Amino acid sequence: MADSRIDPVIRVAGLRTRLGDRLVHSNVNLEVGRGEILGVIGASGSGKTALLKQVAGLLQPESGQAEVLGVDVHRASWSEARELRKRWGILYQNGALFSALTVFDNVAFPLRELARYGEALEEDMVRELTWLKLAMVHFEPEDAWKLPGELSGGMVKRAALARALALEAELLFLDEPTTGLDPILAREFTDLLGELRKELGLSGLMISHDLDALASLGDRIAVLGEGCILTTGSLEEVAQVDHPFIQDLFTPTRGQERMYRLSHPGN
Amino acid sequence: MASQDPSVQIDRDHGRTRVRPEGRWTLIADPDGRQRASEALAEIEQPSQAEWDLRGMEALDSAGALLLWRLWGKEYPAELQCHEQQRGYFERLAGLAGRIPEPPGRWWHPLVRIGEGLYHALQAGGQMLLLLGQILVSTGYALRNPRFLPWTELSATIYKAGLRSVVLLGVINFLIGMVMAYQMGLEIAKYGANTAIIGVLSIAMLRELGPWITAIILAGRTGSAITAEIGSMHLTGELSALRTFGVSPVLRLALPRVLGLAIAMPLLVVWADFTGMVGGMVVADASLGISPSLFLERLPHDVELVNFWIGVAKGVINGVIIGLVASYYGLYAQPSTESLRRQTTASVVTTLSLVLVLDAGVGALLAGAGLI
Ligand SMILES: Nc1ncnc2c1ncn2[C@@H]1O[C@H](COP(=O)(O)OP(=O)(O)O)[C@@H](O)[C@H]1O
Ligand SMILES: [Mg+2]
Repeated sequence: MADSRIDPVIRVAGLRTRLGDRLVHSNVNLEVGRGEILGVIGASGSGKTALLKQVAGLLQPESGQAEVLGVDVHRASWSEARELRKRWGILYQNGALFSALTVFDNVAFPLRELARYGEALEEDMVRELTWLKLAMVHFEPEDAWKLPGELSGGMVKRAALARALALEAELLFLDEPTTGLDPILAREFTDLLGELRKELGLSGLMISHDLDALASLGDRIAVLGEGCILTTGSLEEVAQVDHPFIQDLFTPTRGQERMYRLSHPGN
Repeated sequence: MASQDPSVQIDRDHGRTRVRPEGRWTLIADPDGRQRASEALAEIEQPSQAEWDLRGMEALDSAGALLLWRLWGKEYPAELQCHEQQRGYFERLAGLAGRIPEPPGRWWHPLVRIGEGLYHALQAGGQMLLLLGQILVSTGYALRNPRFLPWTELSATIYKAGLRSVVLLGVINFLIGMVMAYQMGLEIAKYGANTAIIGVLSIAMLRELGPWITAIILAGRTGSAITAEIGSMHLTGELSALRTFGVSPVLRLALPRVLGLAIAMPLLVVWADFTGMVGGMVVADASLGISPSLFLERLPHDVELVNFWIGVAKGVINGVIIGLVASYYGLYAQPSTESLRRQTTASVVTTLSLVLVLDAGVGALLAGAGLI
C-alpha cells in the first residue's frame, strides 16, 4: 500500500513482552496503513495472540510502544482509551461471546453500554441497529434468541463479528478468524470479511494460518518468529523466505496436491 | 468542523422536493450529531414523497442510515440516489422487514410462576433420585470391576473436602463450643447445677451442632465448589470430551465426590465434636469452675455413647446429600455463566434445606424409637 507510510493506523515500535518468565517478543516493529489488512503468521506459541493483545492494550509491554490511530495505547488517558476502543473491534479466537446473554443481547451490548457515558441510543434504535448488524453478517434472525452455548462454530464467529462491528469500528483485530470452521464455512466467512471490509473501509490486523484468508484479505503478510517480525511482504514474497516454519506452512497439503493433479492431468 | 456536521439541503421547485443530506452522518456514538441530524430532518415535509440524493454525504454509518430509513416510514422514498456502499444499509434494512421474530415470551402471572417453581422442584427431586440410583449402580459396577474405581478423584475429594477444612472447622467449632458453654452456663449457674453443663453441652454438640456446623461449612466450601467445577465443564465441553472416551461422568465425577464426602464428613464430625467440646471445657473451667479432669470424668456417666454415633451417622448422610446435590446441580447446568450462578446458589440452598429436613426427620424417628 502506497500510503501506509503516510497514515499508519497501527504502529508498533521496539515492543518487548514478557509473559511469566518467557520473553515472548524481544523487538517487534510493524505498521499497518489505513485501509490495509496486515496478515500475521507464525508458529504456534510464537506470540501472535500476545501481539494482538498488546496492540489492543490488554497487555503491558516491558518496553517499546504500540500506537493505534495516532494514540499510544499503553499511555493513553482513560477517555482517550475509551474513544479508541469505540473505533476498533476485536474478534477473539473463540468468539468470547457472553455466555449468559442471547446473541441479540451480545450484539446490543456495546450499544447499550453507550448509555453509561451519556451517549444513550433509544432502545428502539438499539434494537433496530442490532438487527441491522446481524443482517450485515448474514445471521438468521430466527437464531438471534439463542444462547452462545446453542450455536454452531460458524454462527459464533458471525455473532462475534457483529458484536465487534456494533460501534462501527474502523479497525478490526482478528485472531484466527477462520480457525475451527470447516473449509466451506471458512471461505464464506472470509468472503463476508472481504465484503464488509470493502463496504466499511476497514483496516485490520489479522492473525491467520488459513492461506485462503491470507490471500484474499491480507494486503501484506508479516511473519512473527524468534520474538520479532522476521519479514514482511506480499504472500508471494513471504513464501520465498527460507525459514523452516514458512516453508512448512507453504508446502502444498496432500489434498491440494491431488486436486492440482486432478485439474492438470498432464503433471 | 462545522462543515462536517450533518445537515440537509432542501430544494423545492414545482411542488417537488429534493433533499440532499451533507456532512458526516456517523451518528452511532455521537449524540450531538444525532440531535443535529434529527433537527435537520424534522424540517422536511412528507419525507417519503421527496427525492433523496445521498451522494453528497461525507460519511454514513448504520445509525445514520437507520435514522433516514425510519424517517421514510421503513421503505424506500419516492426517489433515492446514493452510492453503492450506502445502498447496502438500505437493502439490509428492507430485507429485514417482516423477518424480525418476537423475543421468546415469558409468563409472569404469579400462579404460573408458582406452578413453574413447583414443577422445577419436583423435576429436580426426581432427577436427583435418578442420579442417586445411577451412583448406586455405578458403585456396584465399580466394586465388581475395581479398575473402574476412580481412586485419584476419591482421594482428591477426601483431601480437598476433608483435610483442607480441618483448620476452619476446628476454629469455628472451638468458638461455638465456648459461646454455647458460656450462654448455657449463665442459666445453669442460677440453679447451682454447674455440672449439668457437661451433659447439656456434650449432647447438643455431639448430636446436633457438630454435624450441623460441619454440614454448613462443607456445603458452602465444598458443595458450591463441586457444582461450579462440574458446571463449568459444560462451558468448556469437557463433559462431552469425557463421554467421548467412554468415561461416565456419573462414575468419574459424581461417585468419587459423593463417596469421598461420605468418608470425610463423619471424620470431620468427630473433629468438630472434639474441638467444640474442648472450647466448652475451657469456658466451663473458667466460668463454672469445672476442671477439665472433672469434665472428662463425668462425661461417660452423663452422656450415652449412642449420641456420638448418631452424630457420626448424620455426618455420613450429610456427606451423601452434599455430594449428591452438588453433583446434580453441576451435571444439570447449562453452558452459560448465568446458569452456573443459578446452579451454584441452588446447590447450597438445597443442600442445607435437605440436611435440615433429614435432621428433623431422623430426630423424630429416633424419638419414636425411644432412642433419645
Ligand atoms: N498468561 C500467560 N502467562 C505465561 N505465559 C503465557 C501466557 N499467555 C501466553 N503465554 C505464553 O506465551 C507464548 C505466546 O502465546 P500466544 O501469543 O498465545 O501464542 P500464539 O502465537 O499461538 O497465539 C506461549 O508460549 C504461551 O505459552
Ligand atoms: Mg493464539
